[in-house]
Amino acid sequence: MVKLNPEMADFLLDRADDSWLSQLRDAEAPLVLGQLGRFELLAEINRGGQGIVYRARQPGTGRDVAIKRLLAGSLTSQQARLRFEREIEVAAQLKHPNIVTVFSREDVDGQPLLAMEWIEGQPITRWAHTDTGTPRALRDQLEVFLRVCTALEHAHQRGVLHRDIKPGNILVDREDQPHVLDFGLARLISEPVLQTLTMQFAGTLAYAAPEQLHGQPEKIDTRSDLYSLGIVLYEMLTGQLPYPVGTNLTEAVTRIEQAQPLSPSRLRPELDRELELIVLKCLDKEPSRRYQSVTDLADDIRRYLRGEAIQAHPPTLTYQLGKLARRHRGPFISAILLFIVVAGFSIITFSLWQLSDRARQNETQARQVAQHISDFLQEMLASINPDIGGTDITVREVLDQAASDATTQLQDFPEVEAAVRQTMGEAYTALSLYPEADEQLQRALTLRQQLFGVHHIDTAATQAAIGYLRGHQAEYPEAEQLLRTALQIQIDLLGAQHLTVAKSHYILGQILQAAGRYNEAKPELDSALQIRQQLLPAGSPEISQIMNDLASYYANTGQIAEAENLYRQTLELLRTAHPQDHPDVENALSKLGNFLLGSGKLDEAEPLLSEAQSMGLRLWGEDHIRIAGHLEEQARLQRVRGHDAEAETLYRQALAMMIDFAGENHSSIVELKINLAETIYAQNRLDEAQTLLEESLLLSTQLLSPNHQMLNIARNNLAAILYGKGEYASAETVFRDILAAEITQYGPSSPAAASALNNLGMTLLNQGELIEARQRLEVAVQMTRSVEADNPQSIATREANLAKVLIAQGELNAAEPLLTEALTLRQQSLGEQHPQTAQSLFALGDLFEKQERWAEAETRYRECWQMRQLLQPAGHWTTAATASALGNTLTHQQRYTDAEPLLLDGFNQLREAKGVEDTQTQTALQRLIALYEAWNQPAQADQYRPLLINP
Amino acid sequence: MDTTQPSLLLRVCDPADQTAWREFDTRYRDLILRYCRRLNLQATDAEDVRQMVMLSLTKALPHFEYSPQVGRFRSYLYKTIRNAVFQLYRRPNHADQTLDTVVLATVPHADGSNETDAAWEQEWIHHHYRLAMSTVRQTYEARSVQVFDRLLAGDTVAVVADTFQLSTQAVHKIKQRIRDRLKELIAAQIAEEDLWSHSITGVLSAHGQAESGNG
Repeated sequence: MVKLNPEMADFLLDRADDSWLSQLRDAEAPLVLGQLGRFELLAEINRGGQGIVYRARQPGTGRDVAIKRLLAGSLTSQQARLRFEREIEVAAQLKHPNIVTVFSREDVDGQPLLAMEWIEGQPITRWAHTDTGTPRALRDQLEVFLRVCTALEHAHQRGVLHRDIKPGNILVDREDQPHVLDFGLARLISEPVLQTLTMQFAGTLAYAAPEQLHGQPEKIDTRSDLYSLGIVLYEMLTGQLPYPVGTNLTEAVTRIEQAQPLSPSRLRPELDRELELIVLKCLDKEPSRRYQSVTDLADDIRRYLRGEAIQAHPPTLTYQLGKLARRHRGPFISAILLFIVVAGFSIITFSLWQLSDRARQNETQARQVAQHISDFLQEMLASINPDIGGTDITVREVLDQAASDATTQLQDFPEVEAAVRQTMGEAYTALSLYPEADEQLQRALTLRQQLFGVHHIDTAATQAAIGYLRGHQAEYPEAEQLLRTALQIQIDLLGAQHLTVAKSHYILGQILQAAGRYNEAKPELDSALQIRQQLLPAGSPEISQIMNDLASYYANTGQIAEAENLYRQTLELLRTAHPQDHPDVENALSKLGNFLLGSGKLDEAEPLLSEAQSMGLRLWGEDHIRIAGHLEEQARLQRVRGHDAEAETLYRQALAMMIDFAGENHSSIVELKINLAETIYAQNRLDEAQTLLEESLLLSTQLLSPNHQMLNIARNNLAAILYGKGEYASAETVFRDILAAEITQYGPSSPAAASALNNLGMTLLNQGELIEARQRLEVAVQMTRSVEADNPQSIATREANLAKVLIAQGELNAAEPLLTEALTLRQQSLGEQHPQTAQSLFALGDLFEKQERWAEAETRYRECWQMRQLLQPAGHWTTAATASALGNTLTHQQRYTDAEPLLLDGFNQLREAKGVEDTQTQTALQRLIALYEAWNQPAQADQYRPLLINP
Repeated sequence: MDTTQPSLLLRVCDPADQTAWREFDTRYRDLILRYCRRLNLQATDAEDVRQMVMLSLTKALPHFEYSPQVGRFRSYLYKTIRNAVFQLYRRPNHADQTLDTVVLATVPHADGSNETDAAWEQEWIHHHYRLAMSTVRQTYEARSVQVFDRLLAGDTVAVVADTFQLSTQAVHKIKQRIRDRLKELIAAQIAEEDLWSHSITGVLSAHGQAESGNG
């Protein structure tokens, strides 16, 4: 008897009632698939190497549709996705009663899906025989087959190959109408390596033409589809395949290449010789001996049905055999691999004129093979591939294994090896394994330079990939140089209007933006956008992607109106494309909201961020990672509004949620902790903030590259805490380091450098180094006005800081316009009621007080005091200090009665909050004594005088 | 305990075992998909998560002997799924990424804690029920299974007895036997899962000192 685990009780199997039965019933209830976009998924119909097909219900019409989606889903590479979409477009153009109608291409979470006509039918070979196994009438069979031929003719005439003709792709409905499926869709294969072992793949293999097995894509054309049709016809007529494919892949391939098909009449004696010849002509190993088009085949079948003489001649199979055996050389495994890759490509649009131009055709096709291999590997890596290898299976080792396989098995195919290495390099880049990425990409580059020379599209692709890698390594000059070289070659060879060119423009633009060279980034992003707008359907995610980058360009260069306009355009574009709740809209709302938040338009940001959040809740429910993102946005909003306690709560919620999803050690945790620490810092809980920051700094050094912006932010904020604690000398050292690092990274003028200058200036000011402090802060203000023109809060802060130095140097008149502007900027961006606005009012009051402009000082202080009473908790020391300062202006205007309660409250509350020895308390005390002296109440003054530390 | 083959979870840790992964995928696919649906993921996102989880596990499981403080398998799997869900949505808007290449999920750092959520616990229970019941369906005589399926569908013992022309006692007996068998099978399944955790712990105590820096 097995000893029961404590959890066994949870299964309710020991309870006296039947609750275990209902548990079991629930467990075995079918999985509810739910919605996908606007479709209701009913059932998973087919899970193949290429994708998953669901039966789904269309809203509104209520009709059933088939939904097809790439197996790799969101893991699919951008490149593969773009090709899939282009192929969908091609497939959607095929309109024929015997080709499955493509209803729509849908985007769900940025992933393309295909909604197709739902066919309730059975594979044509099963249809060809009745339930008892007897064949249907020959004429019926042939007439249905002819309709399949007309469907293929239709596609071939439009330059579209099917490449995966098999019974499963030809369904016959109850009205005996055949429907050809999967045009252009059987392209992506993620599991073929598994399947070669299990022979699940044999189903397709049996219908593949010999030339499809050889990795000779230049030989694959309409006659390959025709061969597959021949096998289908053979099976319809005889109920068998022409050669047994068995369970051994090697044998199967050998048979397809070499074995002579069994004569159909041997299996179904009533078949006459003429029909047999038609079928066998389709199955000739040599494409030139087959019918040269599906039309020719259909015509011959029609002739046969009319009893006319057919054109098919007996194939000379024995002659073929020897020839094929000689032809098939080279590493077998590669042939299989190539077959899998090539067979997966169900569609190639090709120009017939190219067939005559052999040299050109070969080069084009060779590139395609390399591309296919590369795609294949990407898909393989992106999806689960447990059976590969046989020794140790980590992702790195899968990559390493593939690399070494490439060396041994693909040495005769250097162009393929180069493509494989390119893919490895890109995968390593994605894994942040930069040295490994570099090694693979450099080898790919060497191979391609040897094979094709420098001026070649593949060489350029590798250079672009290395450039992209350098961008990740923050080696911007080299990244830029590589991308510019690649781009020039791509434009030379492909013309300026090409999606590859667009992508290079885009990456170059991103690199230049990351390097802080915004104005050079702009034309690159513009070009990328223009090309994609021209070539891709409106509303494609690739277009809004660039629009968002362009918007951030505008934001970075202070062109706030343009930035806002573009963010809004992107949002509108997506709203039009998706009138209902949609993740893309949710995302665009967040982006615009965050931008407005950053540019101080809080009242406009708030409804957008709230809409994003509630849309997120409707789309995903409460317990979802996206909601954590929205909480983070709300926290930022509250923090900017000065509601620090609320912000802290929201940050903590977001953080808990993120940790729940991602664990403690994750880069996104770094950002959240830094922001939470900043909020805590703002509430003057310095030690707590310091602990959090030290944690996130440690995490950043473990998780992020040394040049990462986040590291400098964490270090900066830690230094800010030192500053807050009065440890100015230590803070100064850190700020100088950060300034140097930012200048190295972003050049002499950037928002980061401006921030470092400001902070350095303030630590200098507090150490009495007024000359350098002033110099630093003046530069900081100038720089902020130019590179952070969209950020009124930064400008205001730095102006106010510069004013402090000027005041310390006694240049009160010069300080006034700075403080006035800071106040205006804060009033406009943060609103009338905000702690920072209050602070600006106080600073101005203080300035006027120093100039003995008492009435003006009174106005500012009073406004500040009223605001702080509203914003701060009762008895807060800043409110008290303001009351005291306000009271003092009244003393100087001889309004003693009004002054007294303010000065008393101010002093008492400060004494309560900070103790009697605090400088602020002592100042308030001095003011109180001064009041009584001016008021001529010496007794009162004497009562307070003993509390003075330095009388 | 009457499982005849060595624990699947241990076989998966053995890189030489070729078929273990396919079995593993088949066994856990449904659990992962169902749990993801409970998290309100779309079916297709759930598929993505499943693939990311499997990829993470392929990467991690063979190296488990080096990993300290591994919790129980079910909480480990739970964390891997949550992490994959996180990774999926961390890619901003799925398509809005600057990287054009594949993004691979990472395995969460196992911290030895066994905290999971209620939905996961429920799905885990259902998973074991399904697994055990599929063994019953494969190993019991067809007629008994048919009888039991009627009970499962909600028919009373009397009705089922009548349908199959059995005594109510016989129907009760079938029900009781299957219940006992399920209990036994589920206990064995859980023990198998825990065997994994324990054997990992065993390996650790042997290597713990030398490998402590590699966590």
